[in-house]
Amino acid sequence: MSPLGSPSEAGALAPEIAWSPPGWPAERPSGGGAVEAWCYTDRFSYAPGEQVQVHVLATAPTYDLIVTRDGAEPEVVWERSGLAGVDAPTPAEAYAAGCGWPVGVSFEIPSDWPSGFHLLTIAVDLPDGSRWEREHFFVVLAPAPASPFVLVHATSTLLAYNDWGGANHYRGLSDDPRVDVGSPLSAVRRPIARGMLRKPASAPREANRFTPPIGFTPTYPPYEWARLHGYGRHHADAGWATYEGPFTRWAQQHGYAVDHLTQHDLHERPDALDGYACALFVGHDEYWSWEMRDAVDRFVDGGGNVARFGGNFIWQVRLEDDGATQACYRLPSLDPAAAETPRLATTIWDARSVGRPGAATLGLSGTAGCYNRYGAAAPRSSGGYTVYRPGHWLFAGTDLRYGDQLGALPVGIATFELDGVEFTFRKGLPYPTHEDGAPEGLEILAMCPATAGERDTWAGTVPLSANVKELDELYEGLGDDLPDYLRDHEYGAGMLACFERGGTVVNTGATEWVVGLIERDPFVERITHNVLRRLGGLA
Amino acid sequence: MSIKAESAWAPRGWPAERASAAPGPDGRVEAYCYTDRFSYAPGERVDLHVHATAATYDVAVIRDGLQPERVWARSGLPGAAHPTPENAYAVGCGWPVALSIEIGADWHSGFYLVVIGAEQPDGERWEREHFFVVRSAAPGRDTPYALVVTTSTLLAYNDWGGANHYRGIGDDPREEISTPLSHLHRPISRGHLRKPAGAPREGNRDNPPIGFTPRYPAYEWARLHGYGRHHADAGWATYERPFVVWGEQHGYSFDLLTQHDLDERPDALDGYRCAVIVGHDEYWSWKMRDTLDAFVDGGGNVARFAGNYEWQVRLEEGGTRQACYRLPKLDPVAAETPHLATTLWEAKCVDRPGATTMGLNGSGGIYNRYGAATPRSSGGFTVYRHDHGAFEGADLFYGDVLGALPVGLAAFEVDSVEFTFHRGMPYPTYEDGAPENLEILALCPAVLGEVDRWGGSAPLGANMEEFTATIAGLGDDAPERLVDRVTGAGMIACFQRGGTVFNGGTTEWVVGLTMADPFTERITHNVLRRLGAHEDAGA
Repeated sequence: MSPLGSPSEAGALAPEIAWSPPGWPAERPSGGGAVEAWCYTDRFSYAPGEQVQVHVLATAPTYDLIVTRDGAEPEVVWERSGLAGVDAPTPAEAYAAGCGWPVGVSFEIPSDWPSGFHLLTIAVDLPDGSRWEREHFFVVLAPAPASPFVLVHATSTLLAYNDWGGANHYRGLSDDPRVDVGSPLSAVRRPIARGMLRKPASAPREANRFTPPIGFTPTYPPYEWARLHGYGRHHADAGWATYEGPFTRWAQQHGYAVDHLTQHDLHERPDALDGYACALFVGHDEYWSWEMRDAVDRFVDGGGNVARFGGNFIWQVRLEDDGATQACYRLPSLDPAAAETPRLATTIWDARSVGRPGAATLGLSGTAGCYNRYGAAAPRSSGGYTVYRPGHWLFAGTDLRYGDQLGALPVGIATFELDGVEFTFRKGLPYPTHEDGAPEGLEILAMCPATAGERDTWAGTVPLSANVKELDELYEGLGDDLPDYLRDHEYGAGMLACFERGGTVVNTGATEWVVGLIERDPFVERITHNVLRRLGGLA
Repeated sequence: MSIKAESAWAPRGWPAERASAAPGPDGRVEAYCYTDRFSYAPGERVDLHVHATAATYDVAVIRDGLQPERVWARSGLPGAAHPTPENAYAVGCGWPVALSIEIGADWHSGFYLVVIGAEQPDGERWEREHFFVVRSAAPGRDTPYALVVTTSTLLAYNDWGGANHYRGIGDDPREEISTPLSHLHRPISRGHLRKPAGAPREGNRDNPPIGFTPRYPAYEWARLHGYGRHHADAGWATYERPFVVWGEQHGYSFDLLTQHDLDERPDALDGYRCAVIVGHDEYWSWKMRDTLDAFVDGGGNVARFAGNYEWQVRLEEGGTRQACYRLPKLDPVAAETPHLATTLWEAKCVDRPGATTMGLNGSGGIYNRYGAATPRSSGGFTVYRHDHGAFEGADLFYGDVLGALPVGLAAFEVDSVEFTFHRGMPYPTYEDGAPENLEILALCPAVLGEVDRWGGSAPLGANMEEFTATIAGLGDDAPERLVDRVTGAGMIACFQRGGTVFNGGTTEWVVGLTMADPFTERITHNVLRRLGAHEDAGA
């Protein structure tokens, strides 16, 4: 997603048009005596034997805490009920500084807990007898690789969109709904907004599935659903419930054992991927740190494979305060650390001062792709990829042909946010121009159109979630730091691509790949099998 | 459509219709007719040649369109059987004139069906059709539009009497032998001129599963119901009629001409603002093109809602016989006048790519959703230049699909030019006759033939080997870009040269009108209104 807000007083990135619906604040403690409860852990991942510190605020006499290892068959692995409630003050800027609540419960990860994603549910009874539940999570690491595959959870994107406490990297710091101001700092130590970790399977995703008539006004069904049902506005933008969870369930149902890590582990430990045949990224991994990329590059250089079933590789972040805070200022001119170490400026990876296009690591960049079937962006696309190189091994057994659609609606895999590279065509086949960091040998296997943002044809009267003006302003803000290939860039493409460099990197380029697995599309399933078997060394 | 398959294609035991010398053993009778020409001016006389094994027959002339009107009828006419040459497809039937019909001075320009009927012994009714076009006595007086009926493509596919430009000679269904000569003086195969509205078209509408075997619903339907195998490949019933019906519903009126008129009379289009071509105009003569080029050079506009501009033909014997030998080396007059060789317009000896007249080439296509050719495409065009005047009011966005299934606008046979991409936008490379200011508005994938994945065991309607054989047969006459070429594209495109040429680039444009697709309808209105206007604003 493109940045909607500026952290600065200057408001350099503020959109001119209305977007944030008035009167829909992000969740935070009411402070007025209402019964409510939230929790968070001190970290996102733990090894067996390590201690999980659960920080709690519960304005009920007692609360319950349940740990569920989530997946195809969720299993409750730890629970306590009747725990004594805890009240504590919450800083106004908890989104940036953390909540600072006391530790309510602490427990050790048993040595026999397999690696996996663990939901932490806190529950209290409300005065009317109904039940209040909110979730947090932690990932249990494998002490040693127990599978060829390790799924790296996109915890930096989760932090970017988590608006619990009042703000995220996009919005929350302004009272004017026409001016979204985001927080450049996002704290780990706070609850996660409702719906990012657990929600009904029927919750709408960000990609629109209906084909609008002539003269339509853009709609954003996940926001509508969230507003009505009391979920966080950004529930569908990041997180386990939308992305890694459905993939993990499908993998387990099909016999793949997968270990789990977080992006934060990559940041902290350069060797985090050692011993695995294939690193998996699923969904929306828009935000990465320099160190996270180093860990992946080192892994691939050493022969490791990457299967990325995700999209929207765009922003550099920095983890600060020993990993407790994530920083993303959007522009070097706004980033206090950029002057000293320009390459670490928290802005787009393509910025000249950073000079490390996403494509160099994963083959594709978010800046060359972006939106499809999101609001007014390609609102009537097929929702699928057009296949151009059906002879590639990735398509073996799919029976696909040149020009076929892959995952078109009613599936819709090539939607919401997509990655690509600058490309040209020759004799009906697409090729990278290699001006934007596209690796040598990159093959474009399938493509869909994508736009850098939504063009406003409603003269500012309609909220647009990704108005192309915002990107224009960002690029203007970059000034000479903007590479030539992004100048006046409005139209791009999403791509399914593959390259080799030490190991093999397959990049499906689409946040919504997992929809093909949820919907059991036989073509998407077969390709996913091909990729996992080959890159996991099972074939 | 290309030539000669090596693999099984022609289903056994399904001969084209021929005349019988006498009633069948069951007493069943028949009646066929043809006119001496395809078009007439008011006041001229239509000579109707008839063969009937029925004792009596009747004839009705119907001006076809939104409200079909019977303008002439006779019944109780005495039947007479006549000998028919074995090679009537090439030399004509030679039946005597049974009756003459005088075109009334008040008969509007239009398409006139001639229905010949007889009663079977069991009371069932036999009917077959022929046609003629009535031209306007005062071109341009009643309408700015001249719709040019694609009579050369009709002749190429009409297999009445046993053969057409594709097949019919010889007994081996694996070895299809076609006739290079197609005669005008013979009946038209059943279904080219009249058929039920639900008859399947050549563009497939289903999405085949993994492991499918190609199907051709139009042929299946024809075999079961007793229609000509090529009913959906050419002709009024499939193409021009639905367009005229839609046009009349929306207040347009059209004068009609035939391609044969363009061949005979260089001034045939004089007085009109806009020549309209609909459906499948695969075959043109040098002189037909001269007439159209002169019209555009003089400021006339062309609205082509058609596809597959591919082959040069010659009209011989006073226009009663059409020749298409496919390869210069097979064409007896090619040595003397190489530019008139009846082969691909792109052959070097001919060197008059269709794109120079229409903006697009047939050999840059060809197939989409035909058998095994891009069998799972979206069926639509992806829109790239949504701001173009042709799209005004259609509310289209970059990346939208225009006419995707269930409409299926970009299907069967489509045209294009060699193209490349820059910054997400397609551009012609201009190596293949593409006019200087050609703008590519929308694109779909296409292939030049079906690649056989069934080891010759499955009939393929357009086996890739056929196109490859044509290119190999051209030898040094083949342009390099078509050698070893499998992939192509379909395009909607527009250019100016004197007048404006809008090219819809697909045979199936009319499906968007019969299905009342609001986007296709709006674009069609835009094109007709702008190109029919006397003060042409350019599309």
